[in-house]
Amino acid sequence: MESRKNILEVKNLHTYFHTSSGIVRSVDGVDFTLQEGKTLGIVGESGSGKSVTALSIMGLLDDTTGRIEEGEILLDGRDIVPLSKEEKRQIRGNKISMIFQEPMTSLNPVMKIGQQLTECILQHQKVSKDEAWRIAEEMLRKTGVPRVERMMKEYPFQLSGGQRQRVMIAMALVCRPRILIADEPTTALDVTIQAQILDLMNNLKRDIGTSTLFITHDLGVVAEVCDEVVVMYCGRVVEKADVYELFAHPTHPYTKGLLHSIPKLGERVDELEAIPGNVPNPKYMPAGCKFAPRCAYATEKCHQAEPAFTDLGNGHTCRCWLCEKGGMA
Amino acid sequence: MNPQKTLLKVEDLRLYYPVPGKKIGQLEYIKAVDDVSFEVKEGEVFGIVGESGCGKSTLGRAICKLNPPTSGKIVLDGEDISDYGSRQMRAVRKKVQMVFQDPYASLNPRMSVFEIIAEPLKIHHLTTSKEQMKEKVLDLLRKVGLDDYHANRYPHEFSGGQRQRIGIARALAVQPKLIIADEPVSALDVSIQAQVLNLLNKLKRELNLTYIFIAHDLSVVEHISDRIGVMYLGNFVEVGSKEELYQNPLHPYTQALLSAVPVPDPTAKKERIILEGNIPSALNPPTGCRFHTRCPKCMPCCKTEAPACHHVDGTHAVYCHLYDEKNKA
Repeated sequence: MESRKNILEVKNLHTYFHTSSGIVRSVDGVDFTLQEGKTLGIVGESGSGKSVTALSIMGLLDDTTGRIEEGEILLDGRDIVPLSKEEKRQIRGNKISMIFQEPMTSLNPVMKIGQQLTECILQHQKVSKDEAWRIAEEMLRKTGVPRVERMMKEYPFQLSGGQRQRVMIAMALVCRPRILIADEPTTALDVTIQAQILDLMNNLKRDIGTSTLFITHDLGVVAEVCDEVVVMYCGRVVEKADVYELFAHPTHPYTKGLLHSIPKLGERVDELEAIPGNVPNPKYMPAGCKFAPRCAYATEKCHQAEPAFTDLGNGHTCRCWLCEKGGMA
Repeated sequence: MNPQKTLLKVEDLRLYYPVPGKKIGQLEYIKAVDDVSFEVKEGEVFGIVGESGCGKSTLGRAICKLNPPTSGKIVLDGEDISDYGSRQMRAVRKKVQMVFQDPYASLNPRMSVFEIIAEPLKIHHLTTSKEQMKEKVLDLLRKVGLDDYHANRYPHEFSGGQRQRIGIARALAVQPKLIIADEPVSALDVSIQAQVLNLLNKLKRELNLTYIFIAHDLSVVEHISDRIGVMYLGNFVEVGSKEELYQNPLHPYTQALLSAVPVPDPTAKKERIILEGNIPSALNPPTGCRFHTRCPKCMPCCKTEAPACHHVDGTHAVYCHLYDEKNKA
């Protein structure tokens, strides 16, 4: 296997929110590595901490109740957690940028598209306004929107959902960042538009060579765009593998449950294998394995102590007592 | 049960929303539902699938007259309800109930779960005493998988999946024959989505219900439905049994829609048909076939003539010029 450079390493990340009713441990010990030119998928349900992980990497939690309590985020080997606001600003949009879930709410409604696109270029590059405008137009054209010149002078409300998401992508890529974090970029879109956007992201990845962190809850999307996958549950990584391995040999009961609970095209079943129960309230986390209350295989041990990662070979790791014993087929 | 009996028959249904036109005092019309005809048999699940803005929700609301149709005929259980006013509709609503998409917005936050479920019983005078009402409400709660103690709680104390269960219990309270479910699982996480789909299936078997299931997720619709209609811009483009429709899609739009669904299997290689552009505005729909602006197989006649309905066999119908006699040769 070719060895690639690790462009982003997240080590033992803990991000807590200090609310009036106590500490919410949204991200509680997350580790993963993004290799250059690859796409890493983070999968999980709402409340699993996947978006908070992204915000921690972006350094966007500074003015909230959230704080990175522990851990390192290494960008090209340099820890970016202790950096000052101004230094983070230099990285944001320039080296790491982000596409948000809601294209409707994440664009500024009172700024023209052209202004929003050039803002980032003028912030990070020493170019004239005309030059910035030209770069922005070129990037917007790459995303495949029609009538680029006119759109640069329009406001977000004049565009459709798919077009807004393309503007978001253009904005994120306009400074040719090394890392792109896409937080549910297609969740708000229709399937035919989703297909367009995924296709576009794949093409741009090839052109620009950006490494991508792809956050989603849709396992179908993961299978199509990701090289490696991290499955998160309750602020923890429960399973990590490359995408072929994960879909061929899902090991953690939660990963299995997720895969079984989605109806698949062309498959006839009377009943779906749903995961019973709900995601626990972050204020009242179970003591042992966080998935134990919903797990069909849980034993006494699972309720008492949290399992560590077991290496299953080929970069496949799983956090479950069942693998530890080697007792899982 | 007689599987041949028609429970609902809709003919030439139209629903236009008036909007202010270009000149003062002038009105234009959004043709949300335009000339739709279909039938639903007793005991079957009829799925309606389409992208946002295709009119699927409006169609659902038009059938139970939450939004009064502009013209057309609706026959429910042998009773022509087309000309019924809101007073007469009250009696009809004992036969047809809705389950809504957003479980957060469709329950009154100031009413306890008991009050929410008891309200339809009170309105339709279905109970004679307080004890009987209490018994009925608790019975409904148990039917949807909630416990007795949940009755005195308020909607904010429940998770999304539980709220959707409350919405289903409320719909079941009047013992309807037909339930129109408008995107009942799209706001839920996948593991919870499977729970609610299983519940809907179980209730259908136990109570001999008929569903109209509206959704944008093709895998979910395939899982639950017997027959499916694909909508595009206010009209059905193809209607068929799920086996026929998914294995032998005839309309280019159905084909593109199916190919756009991400498959949770990284080894699956498939030809994807990527549609260009967006759904045109329903204010000014394209002439001829409404899909012709995005259709990869568009012919000259598609731009001028609306396609007729071609019955491929007893259950499968398609609205497309490709299947005209003269084009078949």
